Amino acid sequence: MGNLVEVQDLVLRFYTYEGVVKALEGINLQIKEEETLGVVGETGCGKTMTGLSILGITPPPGKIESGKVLFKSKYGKTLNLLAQNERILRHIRGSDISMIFQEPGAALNPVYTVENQIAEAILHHRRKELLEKVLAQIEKDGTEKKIYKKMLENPKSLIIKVFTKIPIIGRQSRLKKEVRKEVVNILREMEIGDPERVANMYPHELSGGMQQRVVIAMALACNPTLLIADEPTTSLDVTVQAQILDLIRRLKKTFKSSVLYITHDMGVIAEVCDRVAVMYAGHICEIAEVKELFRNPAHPYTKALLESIPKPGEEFKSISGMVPNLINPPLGCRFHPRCPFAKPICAEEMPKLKEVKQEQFVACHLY
Amino acid sequence: MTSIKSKLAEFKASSQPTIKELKFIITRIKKSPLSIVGLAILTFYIAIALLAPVIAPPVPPPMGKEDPFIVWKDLNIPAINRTVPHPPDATHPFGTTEESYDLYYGCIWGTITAFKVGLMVIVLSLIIGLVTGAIAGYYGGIVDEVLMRFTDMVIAVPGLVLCMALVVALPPQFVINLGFTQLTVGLSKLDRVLLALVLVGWPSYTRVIRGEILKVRVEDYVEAARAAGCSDLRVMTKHILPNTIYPILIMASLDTGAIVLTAAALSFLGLGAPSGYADWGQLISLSRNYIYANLSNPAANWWVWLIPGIFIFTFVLGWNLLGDAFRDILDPTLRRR
Repeated sequence: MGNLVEVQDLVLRFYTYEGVVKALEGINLQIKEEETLGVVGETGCGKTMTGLSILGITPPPGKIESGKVLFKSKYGKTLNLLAQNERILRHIRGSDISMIFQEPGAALNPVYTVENQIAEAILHHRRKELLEKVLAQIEKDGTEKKIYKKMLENPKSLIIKVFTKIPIIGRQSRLKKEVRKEVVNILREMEIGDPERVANMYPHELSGGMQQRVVIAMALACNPTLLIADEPTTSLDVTVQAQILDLIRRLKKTFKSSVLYITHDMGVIAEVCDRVAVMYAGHICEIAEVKELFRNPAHPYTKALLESIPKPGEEFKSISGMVPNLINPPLGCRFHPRCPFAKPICAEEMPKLKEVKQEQFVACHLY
Repeated sequence: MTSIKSKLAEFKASSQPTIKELKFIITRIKKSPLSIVGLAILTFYIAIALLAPVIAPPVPPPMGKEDPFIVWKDLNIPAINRTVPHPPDATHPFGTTEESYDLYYGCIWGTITAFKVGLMVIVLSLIIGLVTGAIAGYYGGIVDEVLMRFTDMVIAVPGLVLCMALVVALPPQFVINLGFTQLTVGLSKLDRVLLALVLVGWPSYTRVIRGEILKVRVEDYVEAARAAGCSDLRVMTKHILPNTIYPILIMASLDTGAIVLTAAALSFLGLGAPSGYADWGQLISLSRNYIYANLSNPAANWWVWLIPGIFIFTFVLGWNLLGDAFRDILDPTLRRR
């Protein structure tokens, strides 16, 4: 199976008043087709920034210094996303790659109903497809057909734009009805009871789990090939978390998409991922298949992470030391001040990712 | 027949969210009596403004002028008595001012002037404030810095004083050179007042909008919109502005009253509308020598200040109460609770 995304030597820096924050330093990743890649690490190690860099929406003052993000688009072309202009990126965002955010309550715009929020992505990326559907519905030739033909041929027509904005008339358009059908369908797909009613509700009227389902529905509305899930279940309680994980796994199969799953929860990783990348302070220290990683963790940081999972009946363990300041990170391996196996060379030279076993890459001087 | 019925049902069903929203807004307004009072006052004033030519028909020259906004003078009063204001009677329901201007006519047509001044100033400052505030808040950096320091400069000067200076300083004519042709824009005295009020008013909107945008633009849903492929303009207009506009609309509604007050103050100082123009501030100003009547009865000439004063007071009050109603109508987080 081929690579859907290939991130090569990605460097992201933030130029702040206090200094240059080296958020990502040479990230190398591959996401295969129809696979779930987990990204795990402590807060502030660059997990979310990796996801945002792939979409090209790193927040200011962040700047991508170098590197490539090769992405195989829906039409089979491979593009370097970092070299594309904004227009092409806008077509890819939402339609080829979409993102689920951590706080479902914050990721929904409070002033729009659920229907409007999901419809936005659909109308933006699938307008043509839906208009063709509408045209096929209208049998007789007449003004109605002419109007929709014009909408299809000239999507920027001002008169039509203004006309569809009039509240009650706008809702009567066949396109809006078709979009509504799509929205209700996708909500039903998310296992939301009574989708017709939920579509008319505002985000604050929904529970956290429901909100997250709506956010996932927004992300999946245009059948993306890559779904970036940024801690989608962190703010939910455990039973809802299990439902959402189930949902993501099932949807991944039906939509045949790849998932980049960002989390700090090892349990979730074990549950949903095929492969895992462990990140520390802007570096990837280990990439391995999920079973291999849990059975034989190679990097000392991965070992420490696995040991710090709380287990009943045992004393709680944590990694000694602090997450380094990314303005002045330690020289050499960034983990060496906290590493129990550190050697002199660790403080001098940055280790490179090496394949130690089949499909297991580690960046450590011990190997 | 059945098809019409089913179509009607379908129409009802699909427009249901809009109707539901409307119903909700009405119930919310019903629950707060103050906003009903505000709406009632403003409806009353709108009715007066619309019906002005009927309830106070313009008087033909020589008593009146061609321009209906110039208050007519009662020339039937003997010239020797004209300098003194006359109390209300049959021909002058609200009495007259000094120089025998008819107060009733002035108050009725002054309503139109008040609406014109209030709404035009607010709409213009709102537009300027929205555009500049949005640019400053969304893009930040040097643009933000320059705009904000400029607003600081304007805000630092007392508003009324700056207004007065601007009204005096603005030329009666602007010549805009477009290269191929010259455009001459004439400014009447009232236009200059409007312009001065706009120039003084917009910075406060810019600041509030910028602040709101700074708050909203880091929200997750803005990032989510960008991740869904929205352009900058779309993110701005569809996702950021609807979340920032409510405090500004409330502020605008409150300010409409304040602007009318400032305009009245300018008129009273003789800087506003031209002499004899139907404007509440001007009406009080016309008989300013008679506001204080005499030692034994200081309020003997009560009608010259009380009647236009009531008009100004209730008009401003109406807008302030409407500000509350606006909040109830517009804020989506207060909806359907």
